[in-house]
Amino acid sequence: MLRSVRSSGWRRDPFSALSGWRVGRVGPCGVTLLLTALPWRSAGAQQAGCTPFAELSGTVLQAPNGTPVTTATLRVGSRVVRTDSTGRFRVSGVPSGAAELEASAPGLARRVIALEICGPSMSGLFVRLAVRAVELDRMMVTAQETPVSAQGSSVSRIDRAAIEHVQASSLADVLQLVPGQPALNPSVAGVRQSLLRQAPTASSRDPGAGTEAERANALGTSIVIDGVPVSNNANLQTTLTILNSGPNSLPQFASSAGRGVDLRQFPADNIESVEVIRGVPSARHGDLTAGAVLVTSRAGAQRPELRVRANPLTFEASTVAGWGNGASGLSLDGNVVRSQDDPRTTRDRFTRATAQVAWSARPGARVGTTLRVRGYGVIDATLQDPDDRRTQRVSESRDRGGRADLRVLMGQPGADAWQTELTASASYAEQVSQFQELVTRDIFPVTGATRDTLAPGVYGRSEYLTQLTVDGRPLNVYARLERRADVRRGLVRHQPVFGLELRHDDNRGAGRLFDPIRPPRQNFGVGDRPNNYATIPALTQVAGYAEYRLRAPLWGRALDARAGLRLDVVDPAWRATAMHSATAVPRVSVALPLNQYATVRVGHGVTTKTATLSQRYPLPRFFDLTSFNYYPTVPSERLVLFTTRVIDPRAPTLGPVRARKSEATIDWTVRGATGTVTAFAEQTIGAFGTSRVPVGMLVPQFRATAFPSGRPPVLDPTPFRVDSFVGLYDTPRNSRTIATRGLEFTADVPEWSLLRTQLSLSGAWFQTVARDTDVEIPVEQFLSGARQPARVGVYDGGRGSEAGRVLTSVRLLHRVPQLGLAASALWQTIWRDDDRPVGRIDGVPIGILDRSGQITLLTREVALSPAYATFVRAVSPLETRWERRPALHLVNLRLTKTLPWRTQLALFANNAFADRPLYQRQRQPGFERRNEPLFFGMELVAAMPWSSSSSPRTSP
Amino acid sequence: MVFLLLTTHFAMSHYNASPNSKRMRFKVRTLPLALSALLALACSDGSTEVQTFPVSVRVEFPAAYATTNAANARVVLTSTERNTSDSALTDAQGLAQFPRVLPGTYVISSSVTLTADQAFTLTGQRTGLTLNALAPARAILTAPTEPLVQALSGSRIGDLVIKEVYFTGSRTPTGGLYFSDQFIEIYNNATDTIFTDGLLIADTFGAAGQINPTTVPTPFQVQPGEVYVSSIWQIPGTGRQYPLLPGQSLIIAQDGIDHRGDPNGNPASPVNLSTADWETFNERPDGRDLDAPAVRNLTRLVFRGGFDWLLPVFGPGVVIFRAPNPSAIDSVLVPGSTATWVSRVPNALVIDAFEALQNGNSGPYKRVPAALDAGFVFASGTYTSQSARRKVATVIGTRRVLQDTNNSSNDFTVITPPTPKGFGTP
Repeated sequence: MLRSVRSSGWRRDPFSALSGWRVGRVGPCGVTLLLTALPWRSAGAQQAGCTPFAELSGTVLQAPNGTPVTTATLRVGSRVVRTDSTGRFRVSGVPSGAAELEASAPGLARRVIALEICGPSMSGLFVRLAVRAVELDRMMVTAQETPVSAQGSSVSRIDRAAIEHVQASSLADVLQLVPGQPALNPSVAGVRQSLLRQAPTASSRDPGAGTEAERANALGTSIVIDGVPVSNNANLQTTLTILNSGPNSLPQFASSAGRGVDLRQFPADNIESVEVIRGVPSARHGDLTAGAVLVTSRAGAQRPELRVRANPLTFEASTVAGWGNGASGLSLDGNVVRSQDDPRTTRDRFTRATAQVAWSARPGARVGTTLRVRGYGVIDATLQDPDDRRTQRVSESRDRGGRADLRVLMGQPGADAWQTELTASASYAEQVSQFQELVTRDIFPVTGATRDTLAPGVYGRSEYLTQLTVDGRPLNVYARLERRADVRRGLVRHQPVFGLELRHDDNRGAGRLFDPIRPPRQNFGVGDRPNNYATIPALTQVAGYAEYRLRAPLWGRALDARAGLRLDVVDPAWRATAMHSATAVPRVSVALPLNQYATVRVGHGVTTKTATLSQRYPLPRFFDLTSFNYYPTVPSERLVLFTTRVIDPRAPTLGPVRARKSEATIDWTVRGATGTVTAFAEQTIGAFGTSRVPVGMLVPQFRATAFPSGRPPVLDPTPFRVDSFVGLYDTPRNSRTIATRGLEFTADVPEWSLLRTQLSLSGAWFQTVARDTDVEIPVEQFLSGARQPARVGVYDGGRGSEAGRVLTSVRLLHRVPQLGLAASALWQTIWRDDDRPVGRIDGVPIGILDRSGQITLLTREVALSPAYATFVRAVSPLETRWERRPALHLVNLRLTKTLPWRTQLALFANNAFADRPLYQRQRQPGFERRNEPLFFGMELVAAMPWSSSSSPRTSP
Repeated sequence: MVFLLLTTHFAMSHYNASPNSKRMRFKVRTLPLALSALLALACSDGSTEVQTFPVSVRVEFPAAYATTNAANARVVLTSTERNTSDSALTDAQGLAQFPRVLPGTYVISSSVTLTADQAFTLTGQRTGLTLNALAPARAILTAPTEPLVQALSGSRIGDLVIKEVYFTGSRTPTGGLYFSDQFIEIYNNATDTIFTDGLLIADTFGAAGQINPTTVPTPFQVQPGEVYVSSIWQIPGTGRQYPLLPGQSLIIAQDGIDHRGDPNGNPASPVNLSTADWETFNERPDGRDLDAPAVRNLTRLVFRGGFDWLLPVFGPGVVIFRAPNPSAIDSVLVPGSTATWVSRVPNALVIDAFEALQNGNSGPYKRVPAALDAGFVFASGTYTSQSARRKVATVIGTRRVLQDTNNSSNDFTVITPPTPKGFGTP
C-alpha cells in the first residue's frame, strides 16, 4: 500500500469499489491519492453521466506511519468538514467537475489535491498528510496563487513548508515569498514593514528612513491574525523631529507609529499559513489600501513540537502543542527570540516572547466557539556602551500586551444554510520607548512655558543628559458580526454576505515625558515640551458591508462573480468633528473560464484607510523666541525673557486615503503546469504626508533700564522694538499620490519525475510614481541666516520619485523522499532597478510667499520677468537623471534532511556566492552596495515526544 | 650795532613773509650790505662780538623701534633769521653736534634712510624706509644744557595680522564636543597704533577637506583674485574709537564668557574669554546665542550660519580686510547651488589671511587664494583644544613682531592650549 503505484497512473483503492474517478501521480511514500492525470477541465463543465453534485468520502492518514488524522479539515469549494475520531470524512453537495480538495491538519503540512469530480458519490479517498512537507509527493517552497478566493482577488497563499524554507523569524520574512518581493535574510533588526505591489522609490534607499509612499503602503496593509485585524492606529510612540532633520524623520527608538504594524511581533514558527491579498479584497476587509495579510496560527490538536533555531545573530525557540479533536480542544504555542544586530556586540538587541492559548469548543451542534488569548512582549534596545561616556546613548522600545479574541460561529455549514459569525477582540498594550543621550551644545536659553506667554526662562547647561520616555497605552477593540449563506438554486449558487464592523482605538498613555530644561535635541527654533496622550480622543470607526457572490454556468462555463459595497464611517458620533468621515466604496470581481486551459479574472475596487491617531494628533509645536538676553558672569544677574507661542499642527481635515485598484488576471494550466499572469494598476490618492508650513509671529524686544548688582536687570516694560519671525511647523496632509502599474506572474511546473525536480517561477514588474501634490515652499530659507529673505518662491507641487523594478525568482526543488532529502535553489534576478526624481523640471515659481504668510500668485510671464529672476531656481540636468542599476543576481541554496526521532536538519546559504556588487550612483557621488550579505547556517527542528513516533507503524 | 641788527632783521622778515622774486632781489641787494656793515662794526668794535655756543641734537627712533638713538641721521639746523643751515650726522649715540651756533631761532629737522636690513633690525619688518623729524622753530639763545631731542617718525611699517585662531573647539570631561570657545585674535604687528574701527572679519566658504566621501573643494578656486566668504563681521566705531597699540592684540570670541569657569560651560575648555574684546553675538528671535554684556558685540554685516558664528572645526579660512563701503560687497551664488550664496571680497582689500585645512592631504581644498596665503596649517583633529598661532619673527624691545610671509604653512604653528593675548610660556 505504501509503495508507489506510479506506473499505473490509474488506480483503485482497495477500500473502494468505486470507479469513475481518476487518480493521478502518486507519491512514492505511498500517498494514496490522487491527482488528475488529465488536464483540468473547466470548472462547472459537467461531465456526461455525472450527476450535478457528488458526495466525497474518505480517510485522512498521516505519513509515513498511516495513523488516522482525527483533526483534519477538508475543504472543497465552500464546503468544509472535519475528520471524525477515526480520521474519516464525508463532504456532500460538491459540484461535479474540476475541483480542489484542500486538506489540512494542525502540525501537518497542508495539501491541495486536484480532483475531477463526478457525482453522485466518490468514496474511499485517502489523503495522506505528513509532518514534513519533504516527505510528501509535492512540496511548495513559495507562495501559491489562489485562483478564486473568498478573501479577494490576487491572493497568494504561503504554507508552512514555504515559511520554514526561508528560515523566517517573523511574519516580515514570510512576505518575501509573494511574487515580486526580493529575497531577504531573516532579520529582526529594526522595524519591519511590508511593501506590497510597489517599487521602492529612490529616497527610501537610505536605511531606516522609508519614504512616505512606502509608509503609506505599509500603513495600508491590514494584518489579520486569525480573523481579527491588528490595529496600529493608536500607536503614538513618536517624538518630535531631531536637529537638522526632515519632517519625516523617525524617532531615535524603534517605532512604527503612523506606519504599518511592526511585523516582527508575529513569530513565523507559529504561523500555519498566510494569505496575502494583493488585489481587490473582499468587501469584508476594511481600513486598508494596499492589501491584507491574513495569518492563520498553528492551533488545534497536534503533537508537541519544539523548534530551535540558532545562528550568529539569533536564537529562537518555538513550541506548539494541542490536545483535543477537530471540533474542540486546547492548543498552546510559544516563541522566544533573542537577536542582536551585530555579532560583535550584544548591545543592539531584540527580544521577543509570545504565548498563545487557543480553546475551541462546540457547545452545541450548530455552535462553535474559539477563544484565543495572546500575550507578547517585545524589547528592541540599544544599551549603553559602558565605555561610552561621551554620548551615553540608550534607546529602547518595550511593547508588551495582550489580546483576547472570541469567535462564535452559529449555523450549519452547507447548502442553503445561513451562518452567523461573531468576532470580538480587545487588545491592550504598554508601549514604553526611552531615549537617553548626553547632549553637548552651547549654553542656551530655555523655557518650560506651555502656553502663549512672555515669561523668563533660564540658561541651560552646555552639556546635559536628556532622558525621554514615551509612554503609550493603546487599547484596540474590534468586533464583527457577519451573516452569510450558501444558497443553491439549481446550478446557480448564491453566496450573500452581510456584516457590521466596529473598530475603536484609544491611547491613554502618560505621553512624552522629559525634563523641559534638559530637552531632547531640538529642531531649529522649535521648543519641546512633555505631552500627555490622555487628551487625545479615541478613534472610532463603524462599517457595514454587503457582498454577493454568484457562481453560475454561463455559456457552458462557470462564472464566478462578486460584487460588494462597503461603508466606512469614522467617528460616527461626531465627537471630534475633524475626524468624521464617511466613505462608500465598491468592490467587484468576475472570473470566467475561457477554455480548459485558461480562466480570465478581472477586478476593480476602492479601498480606504483612515488616519492614525499619531497622524491626526501631531504633537504641538512650541516656539520659544528671545525677547531679552543678558548673560553676565554673575549668575544672579542673568536674565532671559521668552515670548512663547504654541502652535497646534493638526490639520483641520484629514480624510481617509483612497486607493483605486484595477486588475486583470489569466490563470492558465497546460500539461500539469499552472500559472497566473496579472496586470494591475493602482492609484492611491490622499496618502498622508507631512508639509512644513510657515507661521508668522511677532517678538517684542526689551531693554534694560537698570542693572542692579546681584539681581537681574530692570526692564523697560515697553518694547523698544518688535521683530517679526517666521516659524515652521510640520502638519499632516492628504497630499501624496502613489500610482503603481505592473505585472505579476507565477508558473509552477510539476515535478519532473525522472529528476525529481520541480520548478517554479514568479516575478513582477512594478513601476511606481509617488508625488507630493502640495506646493513646494522652501520656507527653511526664512531661517537660514540672520539675513532672512523677505520673500521666498512658491513652486508647483508634483515633485516626487519614480521607480521601476523587474524581478524574477526561479525556484528549483529536488527531492529524494525516500531519504527525506530536499535540495532547493533560488535564483533571483533583479533585471531592472531604476529610479529618478520627477516633477523638478521647472524652477519657475508660481507665487511668492512673504514673511507675513501671504502668498501672491504669479503668472508665468510675470514669474519669468527680471523682477523675479532670483526666485527662479536652477534645475540641474543631473537632478533628473535616472539611476539605472544593472541586472543583479542572487542565489540561495538550502538542503533539508529528515532525521530519526522526528527531527529535521536544514543547511542553508543565502547569497551563496557572496556576490555584493557596488553600483556607482549617477545623480550624486557615492556607491551603493547591492544584494543581501552572505548568510548561512543550520536549522534543527525536533518534535516531541520523539519516542512515540520514531518507529513507523505499518500503514493500513 | 643795534641799528644794523634791526636792519638785517627787517630784511629777513621781508624775505620770509613774501618770498617772491621782487623780494628776492631786495634780499640780494640788502643782505650783503647788512652783513658788510655788521662785519665792519664788529671789526671796528671788538667788545660787541657775538658769542656762539655748541648745540647737541639727539635723534631718536620711534618708540616701537629696537633702539632709541638713531645713528647716521642727518640733522639740519636752519636759522630762521639768517636763513642759513648747518647739518651734521648723528653718531652711534644718536647725537649730532653743532659746535658754533649763533643765538637765534632755528628749525631743526632730521632724516634717516634705512635699508631693508636696517629696518628689519630696528622694526622686524624688512622694508626700506625714510624716517623724518621736524621740530617747529624755536629760539636758541643760550647753550642748551641737554641735547635737543628729535623724535623720528615715518610711514607705518606693518599692519594688523591674524595672530591666533582657535578653531578646533574642545572636549567636555565626558568627551562631548564643545565649540563655543572658539576665538580669533588680531594683532597689531605694525610700528604704530592702528585704529581697528571698521575692520572686517570673515570666514571663507568651502570645505576644509575630504570630510565626507562626497565632499568636494570649493568651486571658487578658479577665481584667484578674490576670496569668497560666508559671513562678515565688522568692528564698529567712528574711526578713532578702538585703537590698537603696536604689539597689542584683540580677541574676537564666539561667546565672551569664561568657558572654563562658568558652571554652564565646559570645565575642560582651555580658555576664559570673559575678557575678550569682542564677541559675535548672533541676535535672532529664535536665537540660542548668549549675549555676554561685558564683551562688546561685533556688527553682523553678513551672516550665513546657524545660531552662532561657528568656524569650521576642521579648519577655517579667515580674512581681515577693510572696504570703503562694506555694503557694496556683492554676493554670488555658489555654482551648482540654487540657494547658497557667498560674498566676494577682492584680494586687494584683504589685510591678512589665514587658512587651516583638515589635514596635510587637504591641499586641494584650499580656499584662500595663494596671493593672500600660499599655505595652510592643520590640527591633529577636531575638538583637540588646539589653535594655530603665528610665529614670532623677532622681538623689538618688548614688542613681538610676528612673522608674516603670507603663507600660513610658514607663519603659523599649531599649539595647545590656545594662548589668547599671549604667547605662552617660552
